[in-house]
Amino acid sequence: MMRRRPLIAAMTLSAPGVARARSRPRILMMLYRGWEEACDGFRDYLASRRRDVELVVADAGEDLSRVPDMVRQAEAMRPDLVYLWGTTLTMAALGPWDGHDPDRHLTGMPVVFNIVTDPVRNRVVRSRPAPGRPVTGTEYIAPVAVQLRAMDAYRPFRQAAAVFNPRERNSVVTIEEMSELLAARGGVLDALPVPVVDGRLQAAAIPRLIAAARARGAEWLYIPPDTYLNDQRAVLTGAALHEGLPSFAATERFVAFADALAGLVSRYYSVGAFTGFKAEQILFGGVRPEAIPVETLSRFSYLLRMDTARRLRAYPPVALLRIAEPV
Amino acid sequence: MTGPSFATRIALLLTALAVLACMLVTALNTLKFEKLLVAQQQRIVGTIGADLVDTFERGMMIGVRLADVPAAQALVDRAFGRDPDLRRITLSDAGGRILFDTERVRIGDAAEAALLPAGQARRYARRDGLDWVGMPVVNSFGQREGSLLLGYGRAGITDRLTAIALAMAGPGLAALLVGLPLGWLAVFLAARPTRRLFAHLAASLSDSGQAMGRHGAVLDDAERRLEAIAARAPERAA
Amino acid sequence: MTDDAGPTLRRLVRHLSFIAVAVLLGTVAAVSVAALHAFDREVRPAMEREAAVIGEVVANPIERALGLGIPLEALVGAEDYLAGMAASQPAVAYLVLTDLAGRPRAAAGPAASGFQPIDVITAEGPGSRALPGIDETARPVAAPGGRPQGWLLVGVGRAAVDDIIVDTRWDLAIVLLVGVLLAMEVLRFALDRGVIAPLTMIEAVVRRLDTGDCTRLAEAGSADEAGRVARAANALVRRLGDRWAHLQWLATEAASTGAGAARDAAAVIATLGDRLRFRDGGAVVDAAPPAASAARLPLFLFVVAEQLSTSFIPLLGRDLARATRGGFSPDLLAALPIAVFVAAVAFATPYGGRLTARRGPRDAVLVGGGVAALGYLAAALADDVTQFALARMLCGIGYAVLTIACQAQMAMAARQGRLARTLGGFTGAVMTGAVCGTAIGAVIADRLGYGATFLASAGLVVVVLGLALRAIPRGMTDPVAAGQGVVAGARAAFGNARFTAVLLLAAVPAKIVLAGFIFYLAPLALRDAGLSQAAVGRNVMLYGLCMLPAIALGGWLADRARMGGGLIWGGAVLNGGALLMIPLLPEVAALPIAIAVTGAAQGLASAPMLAVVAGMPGRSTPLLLSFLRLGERFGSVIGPFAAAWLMMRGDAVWAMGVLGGVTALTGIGYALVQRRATRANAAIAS
Repeated sequence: MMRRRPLIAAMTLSAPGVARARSRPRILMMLYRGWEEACDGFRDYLASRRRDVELVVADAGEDLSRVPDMVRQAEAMRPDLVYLWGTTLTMAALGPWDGHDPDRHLTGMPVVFNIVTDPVRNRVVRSRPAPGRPVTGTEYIAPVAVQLRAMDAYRPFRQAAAVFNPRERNSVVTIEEMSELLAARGGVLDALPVPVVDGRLQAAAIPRLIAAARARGAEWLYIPPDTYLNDQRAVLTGAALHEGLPSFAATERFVAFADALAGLVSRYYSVGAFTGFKAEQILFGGVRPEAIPVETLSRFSYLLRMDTARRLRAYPPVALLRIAEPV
Repeated sequence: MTGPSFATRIALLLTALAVLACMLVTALNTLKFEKLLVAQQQRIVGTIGADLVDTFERGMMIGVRLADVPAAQALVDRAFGRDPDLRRITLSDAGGRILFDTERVRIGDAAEAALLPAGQARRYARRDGLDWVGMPVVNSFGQREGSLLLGYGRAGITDRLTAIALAMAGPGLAALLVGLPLGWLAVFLAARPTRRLFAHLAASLSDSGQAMGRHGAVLDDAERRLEAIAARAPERAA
Repeated sequence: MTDDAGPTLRRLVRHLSFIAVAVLLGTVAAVSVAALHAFDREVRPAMEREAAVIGEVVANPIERALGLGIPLEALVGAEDYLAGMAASQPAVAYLVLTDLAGRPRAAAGPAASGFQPIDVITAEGPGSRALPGIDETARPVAAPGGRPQGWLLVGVGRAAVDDIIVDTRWDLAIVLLVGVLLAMEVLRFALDRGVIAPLTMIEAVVRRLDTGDCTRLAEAGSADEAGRVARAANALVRRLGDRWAHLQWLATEAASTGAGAARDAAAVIATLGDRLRFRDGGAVVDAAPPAASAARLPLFLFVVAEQLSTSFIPLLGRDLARATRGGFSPDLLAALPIAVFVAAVAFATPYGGRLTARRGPRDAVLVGGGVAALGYLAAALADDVTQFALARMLCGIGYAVLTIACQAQMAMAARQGRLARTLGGFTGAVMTGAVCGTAIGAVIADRLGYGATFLASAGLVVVVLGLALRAIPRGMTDPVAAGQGVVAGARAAFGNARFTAVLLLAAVPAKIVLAGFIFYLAPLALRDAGLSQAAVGRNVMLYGLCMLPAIALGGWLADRARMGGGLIWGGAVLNGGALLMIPLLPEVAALPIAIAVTGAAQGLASAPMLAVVAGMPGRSTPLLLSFLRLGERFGSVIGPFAAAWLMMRGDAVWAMGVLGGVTALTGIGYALVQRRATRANAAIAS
C-alpha cells in the first residue's frame, strides 16, 4: 500500500542535535510519488543496522518536469549517495548508461535505485551483474520463470491467457518471455492485447477477451506488471472471476485491492530494505556501486485471495499454505 | 589340605575379569544409548526451531523487520511449551541483540556470541550445562536477519539413562551374585586333582617319605660306620 | 615330571578355561539382555515425543487451511504435502490424515503402504499404537479454536532403534570374545606363575634329591600349595644337610684317633659323597628357570594397546591432514602417520635387538613401553598431522623395542626343543592382541572419541610396565649377539637367491597388501560406504580372526604334507584374486570377503615362509629372520603410500584391484622360481 505523506524537506534517523559533522553520510532521496513503504524499508534497514545517516527528501510529485531542478539541487548539495524511486524518475535522472549527459543527468555521485522494472532494457545499467556505471539497485518483479513455477504450484496447467497493454514495452516483453517458457514445456499462452481504437485503449473490451479465452480452454489468467492494467484491475479481475478463470498477478495490488486469486509479489518494504543493504555496502562497506550487482529478492510473497478461492472453489494446496499469505 | 591355595588366586582373578567385563558392557551400552537419545533430542529441538524460524521468516514477508513480526513473543513462548526439556528460547537480531526471549528480562541484552550460528549454517554448542542450537533467520534477500537460539537440558535423557542403568545393574548384580559363587565352587573342584598332586609331592618329601627313607638309610649306615671307627681304640703312632 | 602331573595339569587348564568362559558368558549376557530390554522400554516415550512434535509441525498448515474455511474433504495437495514433510523428517515412517471416523484421506511416507486403518476411536481420539516396527501417535486436526475435523497419524519408524540393538549385539559378541581371549591369556599367565612353574621347579629339586643332589633349595616365596611343597622339600634338604654336617664332625672326631681311622673315615665320607652331594656352607636357592610365558601377557597387552587405534588411524590422519594447510594432497598426507610408524618400527628393530642383548629383555621392555606410552599421550594431544606423525614415530620405536625384547626373552627362555612352539606362541599373542585391540578399540573410539582411545592405550602400557617389573626376570644378556655386525649379515642374506625370492615375491607383497589394503584402503572405503566406526573396526578385525586359525593350519600342512612352497605362492594368488573380485560385487559385501580371504591367505603362507627361511642351510637363522622382518617392514611402509598414490590416479576400488593384480603376479613369479630351483636340485641329484 502506498501512503502519501507530505513532502518532508529533511529528516534524520538519529536524535537531533547529536549530528556529527562529517562522519555522518548524507543521502538524498529523490521520490516520484512521495514517501511510501519502500522508503520505510530503506530507512528501517539502516536504522536496524545502527547506521547513522542523514536523509534529505526531494519529491517530484509525479511531475517529470521537476526532475531537472532536482538534479541541479543534487549537484549543489553533493550528497554521499542518491536514492531514486521508480522506473520513470530513475530514467529521467540518470539517462541511459551509454548516453549519459552531464548537463542533464546526475554525475559523479553514487546512486541506488529502488522499485525499478527491467533496468537493463530501460538502459539504466549495462547488465545486472556489472552495472557499468556508479549505479546499482534492486528490481521488484519476480523473474518470469519463478512466477510460472508459482502458478504451477497452485494449479498445474498447460494453457493460460494473458491480457496486456500492447503499448507498454514492459508488458510485451514479459508476455513474450512467458510465452517462450510455456512453449518450452509444451504449454500455450493465449496473448490478448487490449484493442486500441483511435489511439485509445478499449477497457470495455477486456471482459469479452477473457470470455473468449476461457472458451478456448485457458486455465489461468496471467496479469503482467502493467500500469494500464493496474488502473483497470477491478474490471480485469472481476471479469476473470465471472468466467470462473483463476487469475495470477505479478504485482500486489491485483490481489490485495481487486479479485485476483493469487500473486507472487515483492513487498515494497522488503525491496526497500534490500536497497538499504546495497546503500550500506556503498557507504559503510567501501564497495564501489559498479561492483554491486542489480538483483531481485531471493524470496517473494505469495499472496492468496481466499474469498476468490472460495468462489472459484479453487483451494490452494496445503504445501502452499505453509508459505502463502492469505488476504 | 589347609591354608591358602592357588585356586583362591584363580577365583579372585576370574571375579575381577567378570566384574570388569560387566562394567565394560554396562558403560559401553550406556554411552551408546546416550548418544542415540542425545541425537534424537537434538532432532526434536531442531524440528521445533526450524518450524519457529519458518514462522518468523514468513512473518517478515508481510513487509516488516524481524523485531516487528506480529505476536513474536507469543510464538516464542508457545514453542517453549512444546518440549519439557527446553530451557530457553532467544531470538536476536543480526547484531546479536536479544529481541524476544522466554526470559523476558534478557530482552535488549547481547546474546552469547559463541552460540550464534556461523553464517547460514546451524551451530551446536554446549554452555552452562545446556545444549544449544543456533539457527539463522534469513530475510527475503538472503541475508541473516537474526538468530534463533534454543537452549535445552538433558534432564529427560538423564532420567532415561538412569532407568536403563538401574535396569542393567539389577540383573547384572544378580548374575554376578549367582555366577561368581558357582564359578568359585567350580574352580575349587577343578583344582582338586592338582592340589592332590601337590599333597602327594609334599608327602613324598616328608620325614616318612621315600626320599628321606632312602637317603636316611645311607646316612644312617655312614653314621654307624663312622661311630664304629671313632669307637676303636686310639692307635699308636706308627 | 611325576607320571600323572602332565594330564592333571592339562585337565586343570581345560577345566579352568571352560569355567572362565561360562562365567563371563553368563554374567555379560545377563547384563546385555537387561540393557536391551530397558532400552526398548525407555526409548518408546522418547519416540512418542518426537512423533508429537513432528505431528504439530505437520498439522500446522492443514489447520491453517481449515481456519481459512477450506473443508477437510476439499483439501488440495494434502498427499504431496505429507510426502514432502515425510521426506524432510528422517524418523517418519508414515504420515496419514484421516477424517473424524478414521478413514484415510491422504497418506505418505516410506511405510505408508503398510498403514493399518484404525479400528477404535474413543472420545479422546485414536490414541497411540505400537505396530510392528512403527510407533504411531495420533493428533487431532482442527481450525484454530474449532472442533476436531480429523486426525493426523504420525508413524515413527523403529529402524534406527533396531539398528542400535543389532549394533549392541555385535558389541556384546566383541566384548565377550575379547573378554574370553583376555581371560585365557591372564589364566595362562596365572597358572604358569602359580602352578606350572613352581611345579617344574619342585620337580627339579625332587629329581636332584632322588639322585642325591642336596646342594640346591627350592624357591618358597608363595603361601599356597607350591610354597608349602617347596618348604617341605627345603626342610628335607636342610635336614639331610644337618646330618651331613654331623657326619663330617663325626669323621673329624674319628680321624683324630689315628691315621688308619682317618683313612677309614675319609673312605666312608667318600662313599657317601658318591651317593649324596652337599654344598659346603649349606644349600643355596636354585634360581627359577626363566619362564617363556613371563613375557607373553605383557606382550599381549601391549599389542592390544597398540591395536586399539588401528581402525581409525587412517580416518584421523585424513581429518588432521584436511585441517592442515599445505601443498600436499590430504590423501597422501593421511598415509604419513601410518608410514612413519612402520618406518620407525623397521629402523628401531635392530637397535631394540642390540639393547635387549646388552641390557636384558626386562630393561628393554621397560624402555620400549615407556617410549610407547609417551607416544600415545602425544597422539592423544596432537592437533595437526605432523605432530600426530611424530607421536606415531614414538609409538613405533616403543613397539619395535618391546616386541623384539619379548621375542628374545621367549627365545632365550625356551631352549630344549621347544623353540618353534614358543615362537608360535609369540605370533599367537601378537595376533590375539591384534584381534582384541582392534575390536575393542573401534568400540571405544565410537563412544569416547579418538583422544580417549589413545589415553586408554597409554594406561594399558602402564599396566604392561608393572607386569614386566614383576614377571620378567633380570639378566639374560647376550654379549655375543651384542657385538655382531649388521652389514655383513645383510650381504650374506641378500646374496642368497632363495631368501631374496621369498622376501621380494612373498613377504613384501603380503605386507604391502596388509598395510595398504587392510589398514588403509578398506577402512576408508567402508567409512565412505556409510558404516559406523564400530562396524569398520569389526570388518578390519576379520583379518585377524581368519588369520589365527590359518596360521595353525598352514604350519600343520607345511610340516605334515610338505607343501610349504605351494602354500606360499597359492596364498599370494588367492589373496590377489580376492582383491581383484572387489569391483565385481557391491562394496559392502565385497570388502569383508576380501578382508577375510586376505587374512586366511596370509595366515596360510606365514608359517611356511618362516620355515623356508629358517630351514636354509649354512646361514644364521636369527639373522635371516631379522632381515625378513626388516623387508616386511619395508613393505608395510610403502603399502599405504602405494595405496594412496593409486587412489589419487583412480579410486579406492581401482587401487585395490591393482594391489590384487600385483600380488597374484608375484605369487605366480614365486611358483616359477621355485619350480626352477626344484628342477635344478633334481638335476644335481640325478
